[in-house]
Order: sequence, then structure tokens, then C-alpha cells
Amino acid sequence: MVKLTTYAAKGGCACKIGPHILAGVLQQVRVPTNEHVLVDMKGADDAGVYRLTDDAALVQTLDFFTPIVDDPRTFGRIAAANSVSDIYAMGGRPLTAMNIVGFPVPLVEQGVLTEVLNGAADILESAGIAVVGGHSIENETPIFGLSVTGVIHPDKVWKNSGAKVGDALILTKPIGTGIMSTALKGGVFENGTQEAANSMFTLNKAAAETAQHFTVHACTDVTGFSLMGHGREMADGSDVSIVINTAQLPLFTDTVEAASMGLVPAATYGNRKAVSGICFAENVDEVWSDICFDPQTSGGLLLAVPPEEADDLVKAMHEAGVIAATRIGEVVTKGDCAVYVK
Amino acid sequence: MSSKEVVVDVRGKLCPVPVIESKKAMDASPEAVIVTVVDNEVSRDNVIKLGKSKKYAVGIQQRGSAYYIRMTPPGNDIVANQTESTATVHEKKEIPEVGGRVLLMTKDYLGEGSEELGRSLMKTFWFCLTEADVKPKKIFFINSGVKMVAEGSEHLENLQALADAGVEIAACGICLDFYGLKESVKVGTITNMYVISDSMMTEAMVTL
Repeated sequence: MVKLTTYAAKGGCACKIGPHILAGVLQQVRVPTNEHVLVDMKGADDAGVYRLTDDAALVQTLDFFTPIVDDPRTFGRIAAANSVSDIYAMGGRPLTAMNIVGFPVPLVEQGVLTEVLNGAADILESAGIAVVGGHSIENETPIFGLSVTGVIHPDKVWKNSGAKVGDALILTKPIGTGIMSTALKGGVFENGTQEAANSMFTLNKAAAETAQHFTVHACTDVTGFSLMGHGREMADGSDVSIVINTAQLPLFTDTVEAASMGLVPAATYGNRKAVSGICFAENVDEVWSDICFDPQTSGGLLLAVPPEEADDLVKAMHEAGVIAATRIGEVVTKGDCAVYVK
Repeated sequence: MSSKEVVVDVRGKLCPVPVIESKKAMDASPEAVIVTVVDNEVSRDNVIKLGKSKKYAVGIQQRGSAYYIRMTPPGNDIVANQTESTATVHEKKEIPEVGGRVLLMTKDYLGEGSEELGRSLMKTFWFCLTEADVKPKKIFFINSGVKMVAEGSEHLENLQALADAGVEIAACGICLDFYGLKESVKVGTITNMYVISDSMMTEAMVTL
């Protein structure tokens, strides 16, 4: 059987261009815009929002990456769940998707691409999303992802910048997909790697739909820049600081052990270098730094909600099948650090 | 107490291979000192994490672009005492890549006897030096030795690699003139006999 991760040049250790490198490029690039654009690239939000009428706006996103699991169908599922996630993180409803494919021809001939596309279809179907097109090129390293379009009410956009002092922070999926993807390459920690794969292809649909019935001050999905990177974006955007409680963080089985023994992807080191303003309490073991900076693929939603609604929201999420949903911290007055980890 | 040493050379390998290979070596020889050689900081830090999580005493040495992580299993006192450093990542020991020696190359083949053999030996010699952890500080070329740094030499690639690694390479000017090669130097600089003779008197020189 084809082992897909052997085709990923970056050794499965997260293939993103580092945020500090990217920032240097984006500073020098013009971004055409007009008055209909409600959310653009500036705020580090998850998707773009474009007003069509007073009660309808388009919400658009795309994402693609190299294989992080060996099984083609699972890779397709993860890529789909990951690509759609940004729509949910904005509070939107995804409608259509288009496939983005770069693949080596021999793998296509072996039926691998067919499995990947069907894997994506599994997830899209379950979310009621129609596939309306796609584009493919021949490429030495397999890449796959989707461009997704949804709708949203222009006044009900969840930005990552609206968290208020006193808010509770809720995370809806376990942390540790980067560590577990690294463990997978090493053929160790079977339970954790299986849990991570399942988590990565689980849509944030149920979590987002449940949260629609509650007050949401800010929301983002936790992806490549890690809980710290995305947490910091929320803190900065909202002009507050946030506190993360490591004891409350939902994790995959054996994540602490895997991180302790050095199954830490290179992107974790990149995130730690790129994301400043993070303060760990002295009594926090250093392994938590590797967990908190772990790049997530298709991670959960991070929501800032009024504290009095938090427990009910977590309960409602559990009832909706979002079993990992946990209250992991709180929003505090802006201090010296953007994120306090204790 | 065993003082057996197992070397895991995983230079050129990306994560998680260095960790997994080191762990395999630990599992296979629980008594042994494991010396893992890596060539990037991520692998270095990850292997250190592995060693510490297994309660090994961890020492790190940097030689050139390579990191030698020496991990001594708990209870292996004899060897633990020999561990040169239990420094953490932030206190890495600096061992310069360039050693103190100066080479004087007097001809374009190595050793006495068959010149044909000597030419082939020379090629191997340069290759070995490019792979060596401790490299010479300078290499001077005199007489027919200068042909090795000039256009058409089969050693240019290896010599360039040495130059890139920080080794000073310089050929004698009169010698280049004599062979009509002054315009064809491809690696290093042109020097003179004052510099070379001064080095002979003041530095650790090996003549070949």
C-alpha cells in the first residue's frame, strides 16, 4: 500500500511558511479592496467576508497541504474538514467547495487521488456542501485542499477580535495533532495517532451550530500557528490578555509523553520563535511549551463567551457530540503578556 | 558497568527519524551510552528531550554543523563521570570547526611512489577532509600543488567545499606564474612566500 506521508518533503512536520517570513512578504504586497469587504487579511481572521446585501454576505476561504496521514481516504477527509473549518469559525454556513489538486501522475494512476477526492466527498456530503469544480496540476509532492464558499449574515460575523474581559475561553477539540502526526511517522503511540486522525476529520459544524444559540464575542479555529499563535491573535485583536490553564487542556492520549520524548515537529520551534508575548508560569513544566506551540491541523474552535453562559455552552456541545469541548481559560485585562499559561 | 557506546548518525534525516532511531538504540542496548549525531537544531533539541525523558545524563558537543548528543543511561556511573558536559541547549559548548593546523601542498599528487596512485589518493584525501569534523585552518599550495586550485582541476569541488566551510585556501603567486595559471585560479586567493614562510615558523604545519 502507498504510504502517503513518505511523499511529504517536509517530513510531515508541518509545511507552512513561517509566519515571520510571510509577514515580511505581506507588508510589501498591495491588497485591493472596496467598501463591500467586511473582513480582509489585515485582522488575521480565518476567512474573508464580502457583503452582498444588507442581510447576506459571502464568506470565503481556502486551504491545502501535503499529506499528514498515510491513508489516502483519511487524508481527503482531513483536508476537507480543515478547509471548511474557517467558514464555521466565522459563524458562517458553507455552501460550495472546489478541489485544489497537485499530484504525481503515478499516484493518480494507482487510484490514490480517487480515494483522496472520495474522502473529501464523505465529509462535504455530511455537511451538505456541494462540490462545484476544481483544478489539478502535476506535482512531485502531493498536495490537496479545497476552496470553500459560504454565507453569513453581515451583522453576525464572529471575528477573532471581540473578546471581553471576564469572558470564558472554550476549546472544542483536543490539542496535539502536530505531535501525533510526528509520532505517526515514527510508528509509535498508536492510540493517540488514531484519535488525532479522527479528530482532524471531524467537522467543526456541530460546535459552531451549537454556539449559534449562545453569545459569542470572538471565535477562531486553532490551526497551524498553534493555540498560542491563534490565542495571541485573539488577545491582540481584542486588546485584552488571555489566560490558559494547562490542567484543563483537552489532549490526545499520550500527548504529554510523546512531546516529552521529543516527537516535536519543526513548526513548533518556528511558532515559538515567531509568536512573542507568551508567558509561562514558573511551575509549568517545559513540555507544555511544546504542546501549546504545537501546530494544529483541522483543530477545534476557540471561543470567547460570557462566563455565565460558558458551562451551558460546554454542556450543549457535549450533547451535540462535541465531547472534547472544555473551558480552558479566561479573558483578563491587557497585561505585559498577551497570553499567560499557567 | 558497561562502557559500550552506540553511535546513531542521523545527519541528513528529518524529524522524527533522529528521535526514533535513538530510542531504538536505547531499547536495543539499555546499558550503552548512546551518541546521536544530528545536523540541525530541531533534531538536536528533540533528541535531548528524548534523553532527558528517559533519565539519561545528556551532554552536547558542537563540531562544525554537527551536534553530538551523548546520552548516558541512569546508573552507568563510570561513563557518566566521563561525560564532558551536561549543559542544556542554551549552554552548548563551542568547538571550532576549523582546527589549528596548516597544510602545505608541495605537489599535485599525494605521497611518494606511483604518481598515478598519488593523484587518485589526492582526490580521496580532499574528499575525506570535506567530511572531517575538524578541518585545517589554512591550506597553502606551492609548486605543482597550485594546479589543484586552477581551472581544469578535478579537486575544485572539494576545495570549494572546504573554502565554504571556512578553511583559508591560498596558492603561491610565483608558482602560478610559472605554470601560466595566474588567471585561472578558481578557488581561494593568491599569496606569497613571506606569508607562507611566516606560517611555517609560527603555526602547526603539515607538509604533503
